[in-house]
Amino acid sequence: MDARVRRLRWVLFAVFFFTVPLPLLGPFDGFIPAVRHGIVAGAALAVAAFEGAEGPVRGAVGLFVAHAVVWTIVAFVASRVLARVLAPRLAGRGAGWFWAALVLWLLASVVFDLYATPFGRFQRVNLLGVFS
Amino acid sequence: MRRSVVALAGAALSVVFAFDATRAEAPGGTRAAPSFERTEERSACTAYYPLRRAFYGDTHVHTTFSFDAWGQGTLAGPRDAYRYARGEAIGIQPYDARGEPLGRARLRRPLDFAMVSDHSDLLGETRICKDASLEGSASLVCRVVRRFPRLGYLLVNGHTYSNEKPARYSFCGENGEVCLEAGREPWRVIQDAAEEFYDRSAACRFTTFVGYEWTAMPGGRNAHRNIVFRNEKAQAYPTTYIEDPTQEQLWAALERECLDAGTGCDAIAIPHNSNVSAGELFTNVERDGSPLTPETARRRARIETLVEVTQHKGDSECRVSAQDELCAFETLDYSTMQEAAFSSGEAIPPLVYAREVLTEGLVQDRRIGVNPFAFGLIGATDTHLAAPGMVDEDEYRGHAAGTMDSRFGPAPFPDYESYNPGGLAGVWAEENSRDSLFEAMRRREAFGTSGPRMSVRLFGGWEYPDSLCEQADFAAEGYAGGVPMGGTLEGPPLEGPGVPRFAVRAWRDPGGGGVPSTPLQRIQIVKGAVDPATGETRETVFDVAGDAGREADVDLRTCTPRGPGFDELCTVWSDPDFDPAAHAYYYARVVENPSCRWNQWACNAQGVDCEAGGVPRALRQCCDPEIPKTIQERAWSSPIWYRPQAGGAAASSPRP
Repeated sequence: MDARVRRLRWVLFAVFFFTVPLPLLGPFDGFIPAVRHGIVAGAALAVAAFEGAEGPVRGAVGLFVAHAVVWTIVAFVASRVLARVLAPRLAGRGAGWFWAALVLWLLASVVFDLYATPFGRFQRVNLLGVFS
Repeated sequence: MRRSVVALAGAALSVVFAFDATRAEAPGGTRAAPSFERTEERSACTAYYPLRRAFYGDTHVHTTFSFDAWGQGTLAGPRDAYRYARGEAIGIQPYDARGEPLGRARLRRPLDFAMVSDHSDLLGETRICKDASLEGSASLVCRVVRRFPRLGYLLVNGHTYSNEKPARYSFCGENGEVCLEAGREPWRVIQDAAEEFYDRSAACRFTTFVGYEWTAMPGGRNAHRNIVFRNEKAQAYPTTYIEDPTQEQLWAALERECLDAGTGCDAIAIPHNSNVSAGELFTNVERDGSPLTPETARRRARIETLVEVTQHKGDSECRVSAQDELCAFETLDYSTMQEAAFSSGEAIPPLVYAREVLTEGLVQDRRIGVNPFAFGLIGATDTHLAAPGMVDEDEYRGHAAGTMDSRFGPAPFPDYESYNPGGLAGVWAEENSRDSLFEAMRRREAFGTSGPRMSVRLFGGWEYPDSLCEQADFAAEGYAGGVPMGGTLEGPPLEGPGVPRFAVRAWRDPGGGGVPSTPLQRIQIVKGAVDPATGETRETVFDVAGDAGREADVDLRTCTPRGPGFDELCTVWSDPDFDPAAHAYYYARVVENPSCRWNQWACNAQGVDCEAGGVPRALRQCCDPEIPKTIQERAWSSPIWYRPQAGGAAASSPRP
């Protein structure tokens, strides 16, 4: 495989995984990147493993783990598909537009409160708040 | 002979007591020996009402000592709660980085009494997770709770309250002793705060009670009870759902450690939220499924003398039906709190709503000679903001536990649309002291309101004259000629027409302090009975005073009530369907004219104009036609029971 496409795929995966808000479906009203889904699932799984998953805890942990797995897969597939679509178009000036768009997106995610953390200390946050 | 004795007693009382115990009654009069036992050291109250007056309070209050309140940002403690109840301003969430409150709240009309009822079950865990110096604070659970408060709430709730077999976390040590020991400090603070703010002087300005909440929710089925202690003598440690997970174990603990301990301790337990109990709260069988025994019925009736019929998480009076359209009031359409998130779509099972449970009590009384469900009705808030009595629809700030996340400040729409600010308890007592108020709760001479301070008196007797409402000594005649709410009529009497007469009087909330007041619309009498021939039960609602057909409404733009209503209603009513052989109960429901619900006040305050468009997403509920914009606030008296007894007396004292 073209090394450029592989690099593009990983860049896009990182963007999707770390920055694109994805919903927490169910009663919790969250809108966070796949990595944060993973953190929530990890925390819940750790408590359940250590203390037991009695009662509704099991269902809740299952919900969080499912989100983390599904959204990671979605990020992976989306990055592959988008890399395949974009790669031919990123020669010359196309690459410049791509990187500019990426930087703009990262700036927006840091400046604006695009995320809703269902279990954090703040409700609507920017990307830095997601990981604070 | 009996009639002349009653008449003489009535005449004597009307001479002795110069004032009728209406809202405007002046205190004093001739102070006979109080009808309640004094169990504590305190000054006699200067303001003493021989014919009793209504005192308003809140017996369901959570502070930072409750795990779910703390997790949602509440830092106000029991002392703050009592300050708020007395009318002082307190700081509430959100808090800044230094822990200083950015929100302020003040009750425009102080309460007469209040009780902090923090969850007993996790007092220690809450303290440990807050305090880095305590053993267990660095545990995985505490770290997750601090880092992800709402996730912590979800996990801890599921591990303890909603668990059929609740258990403590590993950091609590063997047998939970680390956490139980840590819980002693907050329990001490709760008691100390109640003592500090209880006015033992002759002024009797404010009364506190020591109490807590036993928070059972097996499988998500609510079985919570609030425990109210009569005086400063309380359990050494509050009973917890984790160590005593059944209602029988709760009762046994209260009997062993208080009621039968011989220490002067006395307590009642007040169930709440039967609307989301799925039948767990009011069980008509023994734990092994066998028919209820008289012993169990007697235990419950002794301890559970009141039920919280309305509060933040919905109303529990009656099942929505075509026969009683007013039952569609603050109704939650799911049978357990878990179903609020994951609806099963199943029908709400029987023995959930107070009215049908009262009727079941008649069935049991007929079967075993004891009524396990002879409870009175009160309201409360269940606030988790440490704000007792925060019931005013126009200034609702939210609830702060598991609902809208108030850590981030008052949301423009402060709560889930299906919830409400809650209600108040009204108690007919001689004075504002613990003994007087508590005995009123024990004899069930109490009523609930959905928030406003309307009041209602109900008397049941055999010979009340039609002209009783015009008489200045309404209450004196009521007491002399029958029983007040909470009492039992046994009969019918050998002489006279033998049909009970019910004298009911209601007053609108007088307002004051900037609190809006809405006129009354009507009074209803709700009757439940068991057919002696077939055993079938029947519940009937009678309009007895006022006018339901009037065209009163409310201007939604300004929340100004429009149309006629009543400042006061009164009537003497006889049951047209009375069967002297049928067990029955009667309670009064007083209904106001329509007024704005809290959400409409919130939307108006935000300047929402649904027709103009451009409504922010956070306020989209303002334009949802499915969310009611108005309500009809109401009050419920405690019932008066009728118990057929061959050759029985004309009236009797309240049943134990």
